Amino acid sequence: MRFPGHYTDGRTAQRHEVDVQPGRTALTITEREGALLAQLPYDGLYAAEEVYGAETPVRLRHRERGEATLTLAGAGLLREIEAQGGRRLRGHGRLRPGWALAALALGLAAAALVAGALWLPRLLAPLAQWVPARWEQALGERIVTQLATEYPLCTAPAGRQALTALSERLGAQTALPYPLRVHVVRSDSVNAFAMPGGQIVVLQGLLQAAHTPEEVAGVLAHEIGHVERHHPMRGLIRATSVALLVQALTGGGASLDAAAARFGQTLVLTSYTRQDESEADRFAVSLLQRAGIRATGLAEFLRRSAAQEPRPGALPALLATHPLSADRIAQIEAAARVTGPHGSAALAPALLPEQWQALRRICQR
Amino acid sequence: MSDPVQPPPGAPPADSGSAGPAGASVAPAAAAPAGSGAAVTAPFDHAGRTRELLAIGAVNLLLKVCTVGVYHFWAKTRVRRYVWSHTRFAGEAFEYSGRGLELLLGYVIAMAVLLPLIALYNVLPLLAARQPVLVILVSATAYPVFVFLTGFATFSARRYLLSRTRWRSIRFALSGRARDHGGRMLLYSLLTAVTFGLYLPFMRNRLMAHLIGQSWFGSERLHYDGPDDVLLRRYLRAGVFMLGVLLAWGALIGISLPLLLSFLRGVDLPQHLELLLPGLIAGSVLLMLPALGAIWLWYRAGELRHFVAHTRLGTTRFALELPTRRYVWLYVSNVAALLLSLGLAYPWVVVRTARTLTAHLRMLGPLDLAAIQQAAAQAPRTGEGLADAFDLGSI
Repeated sequence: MRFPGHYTDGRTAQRHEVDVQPGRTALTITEREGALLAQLPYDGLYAAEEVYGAETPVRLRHRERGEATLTLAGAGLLREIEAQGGRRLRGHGRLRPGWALAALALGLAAAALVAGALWLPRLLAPLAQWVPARWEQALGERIVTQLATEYPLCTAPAGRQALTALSERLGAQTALPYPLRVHVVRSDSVNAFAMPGGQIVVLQGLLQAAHTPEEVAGVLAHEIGHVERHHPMRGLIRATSVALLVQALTGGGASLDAAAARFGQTLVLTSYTRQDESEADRFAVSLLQRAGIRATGLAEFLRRSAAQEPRPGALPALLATHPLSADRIAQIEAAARVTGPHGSAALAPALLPEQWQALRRICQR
Repeated sequence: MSDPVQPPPGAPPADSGSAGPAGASVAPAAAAPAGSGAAVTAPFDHAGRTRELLAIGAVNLLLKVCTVGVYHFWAKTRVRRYVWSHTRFAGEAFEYSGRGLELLLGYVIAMAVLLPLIALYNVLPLLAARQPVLVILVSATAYPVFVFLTGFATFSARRYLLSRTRWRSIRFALSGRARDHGGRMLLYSLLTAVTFGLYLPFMRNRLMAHLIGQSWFGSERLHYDGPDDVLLRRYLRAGVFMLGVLLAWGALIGISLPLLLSFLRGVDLPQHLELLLPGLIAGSVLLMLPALGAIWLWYRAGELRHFVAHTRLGTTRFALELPTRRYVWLYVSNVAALLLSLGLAYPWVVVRTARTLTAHLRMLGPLDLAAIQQAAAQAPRTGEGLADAFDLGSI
């Protein structure tokens, strides 16, 4: 049996029209005029690219022949040669026997990625402690300035005085490398945030929703907990590292795989946030006790907001950024019953009645 | 889909005996017009099929999703291998020998360079807000640095692609240094900025000269001798057209905007005008931008023909006989198809583009293949990294 093909020797662009004769151990390649050109043993013979279709030429190379190439006019010839030679040739197109291996490799790669996505943020987050306090402060100020351009800061003097009194009373019990700065921002949402560098932002809606100054003190202590544990900076580093990882792996495309990656990113990040919240709650209880403020204020506040939030089950616990309120409240109340290692100061109201009224009117001019 | 598919020159590939006497030279066989100095042939063609590439693309997409995108580099390699091995010159297909891993490594290296830079330019303004001078000084370097890197990336990508391309087992290559190309791009960009864009055609022509003039097919070097002034004339004409469009648009806005403002201030206008004005302004913007784009494509069509026409390999010259309107239509319909199909039309775009370009590519004069030897040129070990990060590669 002879098959038509052509041969290039890998050194010149000469093309030799050849006959290919499959033998017992090798392909014998002769020129049309009859001269022997090469003998390619089956052992070491491979297809240089996928076998695309019956009519598409197939290029064969040999491990020991460098770039010399035997081109068969079509894939059909390859099949016949394989039948004659009694063996299959190795090549890009021959994935079928290796599918299981390929799937395993893919699985491992995916697992390595997930592990990387979970561990990289965890490994990098402690760097937050080493960020110079001045950098962190500059960053925080920058964010608050930015925020203030969209949501005006509330600065009624009497209200500010009350707020400063409360934050200094709490701050005196901490050892932060920078002064605490608490801002109230005009917004109806019931929320508060901790920023890098000791900046805390309380939304006006929260002051209106709170019934007692102890509730506000509880929220403040919770946010101070975030500050003390460098949570904002850790969060920033985590989010950045995960985003960079995803960016680097997907090539930053705005495609299907990028969207899938973003979903995974959210899952990873929120699981950290929930740990942070519990940590801040525990810190808050101990801080309130040391400052001589009734520690159940935070739990009372959470209980009332919980009545307004959707029932648990509406959103899987895994997806919620804050731990479910019921769990948090139970934990806080349990912690408040136990006196912390630093002991508990004699209880005093968080704010005097007139201070409380001033604080609630901090956004009125 | 009105692309005429150029049949393979000479015989179909199955009959491999007729691609030239002893395959020693690719010479005009039948279609040579007698008497003309350099015989014109059409030895290029593309035999790819959308359906086949679509199948490859579907598997690629699946694997990309499974691997959170890491498969990107292998996917790109598979698509290239398909396109190369279905693009033929004188009946013989090109071969792409790149590896996905090479692309991945190149990308990792590029990221190691880029990420610190991106981090520097993004984080510094936040941290050093109190030292505006420092921020301005560092930020001012961003533009030159990224222009240089773009040139560097273009050159490296071209070098990688050529080194992984073979025809009749003979490798292509690009000699020279990527940093020279980056430096040139920086210098020419500065000249372009100083001359308010007048230098742009010079810049593009000279960068192309640098890329083609250092390209090799085995032992044979490619040459480029495209003059600047032809392109400048076309560029100036394009500029005049663009100016005309902008002036017309400016006049329209100049008339309608004051009317709109007075309406917003509460002045009563005839009712049909109230409804018409916002639509008119929005519509004119929507018309103006494609008009500018079409003019730019008109320039690019001529420029591409110019690039091809002034490329020489040995005694052989090339020509791209692709009319401007075909080029513009190809580009516009490709972009529209990609947008409307959310990128799913990509295989179709690749195949028809390859078909259209090869079908219109001509060769002038014979090519002496017997003289061409494999060159022992060094090939880069990793892929186009930076270019991938910058999204420069089209395929």
